[in-house]
Amino acid sequence: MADDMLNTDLLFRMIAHWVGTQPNKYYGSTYGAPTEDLLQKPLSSPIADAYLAKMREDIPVIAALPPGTINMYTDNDGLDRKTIYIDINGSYVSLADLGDVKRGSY
Amino acid sequence: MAVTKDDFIQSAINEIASYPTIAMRYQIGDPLITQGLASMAAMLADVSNQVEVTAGEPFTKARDVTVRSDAAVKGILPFATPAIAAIKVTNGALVPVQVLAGRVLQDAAGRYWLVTSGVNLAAGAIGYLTAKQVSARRFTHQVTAFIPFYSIPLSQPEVGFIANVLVDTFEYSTNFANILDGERVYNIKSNEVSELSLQFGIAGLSGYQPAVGAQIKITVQDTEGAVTLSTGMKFYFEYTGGASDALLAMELSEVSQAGANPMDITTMREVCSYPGIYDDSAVFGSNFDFVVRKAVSPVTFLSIWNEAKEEAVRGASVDNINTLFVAARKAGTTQPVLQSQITAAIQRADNSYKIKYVPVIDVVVPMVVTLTIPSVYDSGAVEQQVSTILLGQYGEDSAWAKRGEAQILEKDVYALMVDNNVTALSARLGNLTVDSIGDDDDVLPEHYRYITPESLVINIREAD
Repeated sequence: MADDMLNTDLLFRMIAHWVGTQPNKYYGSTYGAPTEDLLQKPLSSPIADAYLAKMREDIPVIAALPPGTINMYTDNDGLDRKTIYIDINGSYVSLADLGDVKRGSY
Repeated sequence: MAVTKDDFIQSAINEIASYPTIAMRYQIGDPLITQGLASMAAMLADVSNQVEVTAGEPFTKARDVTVRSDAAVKGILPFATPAIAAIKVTNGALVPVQVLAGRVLQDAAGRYWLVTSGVNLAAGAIGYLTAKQVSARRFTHQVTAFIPFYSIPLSQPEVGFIANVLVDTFEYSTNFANILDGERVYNIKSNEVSELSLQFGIAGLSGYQPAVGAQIKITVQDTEGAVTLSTGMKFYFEYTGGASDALLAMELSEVSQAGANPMDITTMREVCSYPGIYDDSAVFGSNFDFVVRKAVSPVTFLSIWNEAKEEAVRGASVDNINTLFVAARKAGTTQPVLQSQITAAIQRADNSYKIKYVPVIDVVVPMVVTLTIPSVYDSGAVEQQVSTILLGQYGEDSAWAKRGEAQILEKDVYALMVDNNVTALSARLGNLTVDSIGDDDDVLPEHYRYITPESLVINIREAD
C-alpha cells in the first residue's frame, strides 16, 4: 500500500503545491516558493540553488531523498527568458507547466 | 494558560493514527497535510490567546482597547499639548515694526508656530513675543441630516496630533448636562480606537441641533507634540509682509511649556483608575486631583489637599479657610505656566476656592529589605531582579510616586514578588523581610516620595 501512495506522482504534487503557494500564505508559516524573488535578478545569477534550498527546507521528504535525485536546471530561451525545470529521477516538468499537475484528493 | 500552536498540533497528531493513509503522509512530512493542520493550529492558538486575555478582563483592564474606551467614556481626549515659547525679536530695520498675534512663523525644522501675543518694536529695539507650536487646518462641513446629536468626524493630521478643535460661533462644552435648549455648544468625543468627532445637541432638549445645509466652520489645531527645542533656534515668517519684515531677527529665548504627545496607554490607565462619576465638576478632594491631572497630563508629581488635611499636619490658620493646596511639578514646564494651567482647571470646576501653591519637596525614602534565598540561586542576579522590581514600582518615574502621600506598604512588596515570579523566593526556604521603610512619621502632602538605587538596601542571607 505504501508503494501505491508514496510515489513520484505524490512528489510532483507536493512540489506543485509548494510552487503554487506564496511564502506566508499559510498562517504562521513561511512555507512556499519565493517565486517573486526570482524577478529583477540578473539572468546569469545562480538562482536555482537558493530556490532548491528553500524547497528542501519546506518539504522534508525531498531533503531525505538521496543526493542527486532531485535536480533543477535552467534553459536560456532567447535573450530575456529563462525556463526552469525540476527533474526527479529522470522525469521532469518545467515550472510553467506545474499548473497541469493535479493536486488530487489528498 | 493559553494553549499554544504546538499543543494543538499535538492533539491533531494524537488523532491522526485513526486515518492510516493520512498518517503515513504526515510521517514523511507531506506539506499538503502538515501545512493545513499547522495553520489551523496557529489560528486556534491566537483565539486561545484572546480568550485568555478576555478572561482577565472583569478583574483588570487587561486590553488596551478597554482602557481607550473607558477613557472615551470619561471624556479623556487623545490631545497633544503644544510647546509654548518666548521668542526674542530684534528689529534691524530703520522703521518701527509690529508683529501681531495670529501671525504664523516657521522654525528651523519647518514646524509652524502661531503667535499668541505680539510685539511692537521701535527701530533697532529688542522685544519678546509668545508663540505656540500649532498649525491650523480649516474646513467647512455642510450638515447633511437633521438628527439629534449630529456628529462630524475629525481626521488625524498627517504629521503630529490634534491639539485643539474650535468651531465658529459655537462654544466647547464637556457634556450636555446643564446646557439650555438652543445653546450653541459642541462636544468632542473619542472612541475605543481614539478617533475624534464633534457632536452637537438635540433640539427641544439640550444644545443646538444644526439644520440641513448649515455650514459649520471648523478649525483644527495640530501640533507635533513633544519636540526638541534649543535656545537660539531661528524663526522666520511663513509669509513676509514687507521689506522691514525681512530685517527682523527672531530666535528662541525660553520654552515656557514643553510640548507633550497624547497620553500613552500607561498614563491613560492611571488616569482612568479614578471614579468617573463626577466628571469635570469636582466636589470631593480626590475629584480635583482627577480634574487637574487630566488637564495638565503628564505631570511629574501632583498632590492636592484641602483645609482639613493641611491643619492636620501644620496646625490651624484663618488663612486656610476654603483653600485648596496644590503641589505640582511637570518636566519641561515652568512653575508660572503650570500654575496658571492648574488654576484654570480648578476654577472651571469650582470657582469658590482660593488656591495656594506649595513647593514640592523631594523625599528619598530609605528602604532596607533582607532576602533569604537557597544557595542554588545566584544571589547577585536575585538582588538585581528584586531591585529592578522595587525601583520600577516605587522609583522616581513610577506611577506610584506621582501622587501625593504615597506609602510603601509591606503587603504590596510581598505581592509584587509573587506577581513578578521571583523564583528564588518561591522556593520552600526562600523569604523576604522588609526591615524598615523610611521615615513614615512626618509625611507632608507636598512630599514627592520615591526610592533610589542608593536608598534601597538589599541584604542577602543564605537559607541553607
